[in-house]
Amino acid sequence: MKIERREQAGAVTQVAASGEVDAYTGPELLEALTDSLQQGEGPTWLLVDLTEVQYLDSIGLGILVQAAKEAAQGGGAMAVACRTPVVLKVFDISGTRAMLGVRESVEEATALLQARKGGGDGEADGR
Amino acid sequence: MKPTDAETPLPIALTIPADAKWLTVVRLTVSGVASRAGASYEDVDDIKVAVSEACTNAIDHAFSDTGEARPTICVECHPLEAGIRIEVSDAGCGFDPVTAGVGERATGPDERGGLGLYLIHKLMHETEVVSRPGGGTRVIMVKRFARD
Repeated sequence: MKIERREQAGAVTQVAASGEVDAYTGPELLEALTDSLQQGEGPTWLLVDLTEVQYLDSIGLGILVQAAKEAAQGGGAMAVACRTPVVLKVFDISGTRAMLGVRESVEEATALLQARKGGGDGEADGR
Repeated sequence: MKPTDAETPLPIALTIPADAKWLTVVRLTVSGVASRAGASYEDVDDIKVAVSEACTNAIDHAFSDTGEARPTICVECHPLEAGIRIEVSDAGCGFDPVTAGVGERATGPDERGGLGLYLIHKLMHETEVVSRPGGGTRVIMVKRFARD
């Protein structure tokens, strides 16, 4: 798995992963998300780009859920960009797609975060 | 006539060290076998997640107290006429499925047995967990393939 971190316009922090997220590689993702959540002061607006992730299991899911909770507790939010069918299926079966703010592109996930920053819930499309 | 894969008398088996770095090899292997046995892309994805989750559970729980020097996990793939049966077994500490609350049912991701077992139940058509304290654990999963 490879991980990249970058600042987006509008104070959104982006963590982009590629490859497979499982019990072996999950700690890398956990570290990147934890670092992003702990950097700076104030709420964190975190975009997790999984569009290049081909596999994610319950370990990866647990890491994402924890990060989303921590972002929300700090007054921010997290959104996930993902279009890999098997990963989307894991989100659906576990009932976490809405809670994680999953969208099928980085642009859509960014728009969701911007809506939440602006006070909207970003769920007007019913997903 | 050559025998079909469904008539292969022996399982395709893989033994790995109980170490998460080998999970990707398990996924590659079961994907290849399931595909050869006639699984669709979607079925292959389901099988890959389920088997990997079963192996992750074994890595996380089976050998924590055994002191086993070289713990291993065995994955056996049995192609069926229109499906596949996969068994993941370890010779670890085992547990009592009844008191652990896993049994045959994991009806929600928050139940005991964990999200991994919940995913296995949802992705496979049949799941059975056979275990006893001190006697290792065997997770038996069956996926039936949809026919056009």
